[in-house]
Amino acid sequence: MEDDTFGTGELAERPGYTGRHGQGGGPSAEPDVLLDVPQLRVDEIILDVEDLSAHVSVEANVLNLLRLSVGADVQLGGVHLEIRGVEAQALLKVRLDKIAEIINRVLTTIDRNPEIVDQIVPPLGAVTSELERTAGRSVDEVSGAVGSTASDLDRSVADAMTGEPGVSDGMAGEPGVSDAMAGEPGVSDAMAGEQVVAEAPQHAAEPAGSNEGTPRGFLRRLKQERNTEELSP
Amino acid sequence: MSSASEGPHENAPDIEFVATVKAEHLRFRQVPRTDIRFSGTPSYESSTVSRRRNLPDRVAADVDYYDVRVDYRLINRLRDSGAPPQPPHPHL
Repeated sequence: MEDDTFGTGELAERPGYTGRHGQGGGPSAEPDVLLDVPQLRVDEIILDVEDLSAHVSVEANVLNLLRLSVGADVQLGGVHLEIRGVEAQALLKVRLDKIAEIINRVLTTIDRNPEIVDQIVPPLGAVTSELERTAGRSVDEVSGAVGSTASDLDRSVADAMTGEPGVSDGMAGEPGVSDAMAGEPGVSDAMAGEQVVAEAPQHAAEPAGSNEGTPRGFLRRLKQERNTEELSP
Repeated sequence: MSSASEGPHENAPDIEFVATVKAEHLRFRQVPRTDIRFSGTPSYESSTVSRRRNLPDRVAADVDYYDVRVDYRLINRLRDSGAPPQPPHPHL
């Protein structure tokens, strides 16, 4: 290797350059992150690469007071090459001194001006309040919907027990309820339709024993059995 | 040698990549597509420098290059204004 590389030659003479030999001095002479490939030798490389990318970045946030980031993206959309007798060196350095210094200044400023924090808290409080309002509203909506459905169910069950024909009509007339309960609108609608058809003759004539399978029929049967027991010796 | 924006060098860069590649023989079967992007918040100073020997700035496909050497350097640094942070807006 010759000595006039960027690391030891031209670049080393640039102000601020802190190469592997430590030129530049000061607290930034040593990087916080170092990736060093000091010497790589390969006889032959046949490289066939598509969409190769490399990303290096440093990010630092202090509440919503400070947002720092610095980075570099390198993309190789396509590289197809043949190379022989290769010698390579690579060095990646990341320094955090400046970012640490900026953060330190921010913290010092906060320390000397604590009212800054007071100006940060209200937005957080507003966010919390909004979350609470949203959560409360959602709970109210859900409980309201559940309460409405429950009252409908109570009314339906009560009607069913008393034999009122509006039971199935009520269920059929609120497809949202039956759909939600059944999960298959077609099925619940078909059941409601069947019940309506079955109920129609009850209004017309109500023949004895015509609704043995219904709650009304069950109540009537109980009453008859009770009368029979009372009459029997 | 090609150079992007050159910033002041009063500080060491926050990110620095230096590479040197030498080869006895180099042949591109296809002209490479490359892209370099820098980012920084609130502001940054970036620089890329490359020095080539026996290799043009724009290479050609299916051309043999001999005794090639490329020195490359990439840096990016935060631009430090030195000003203290401003208090956030109450409504932000």
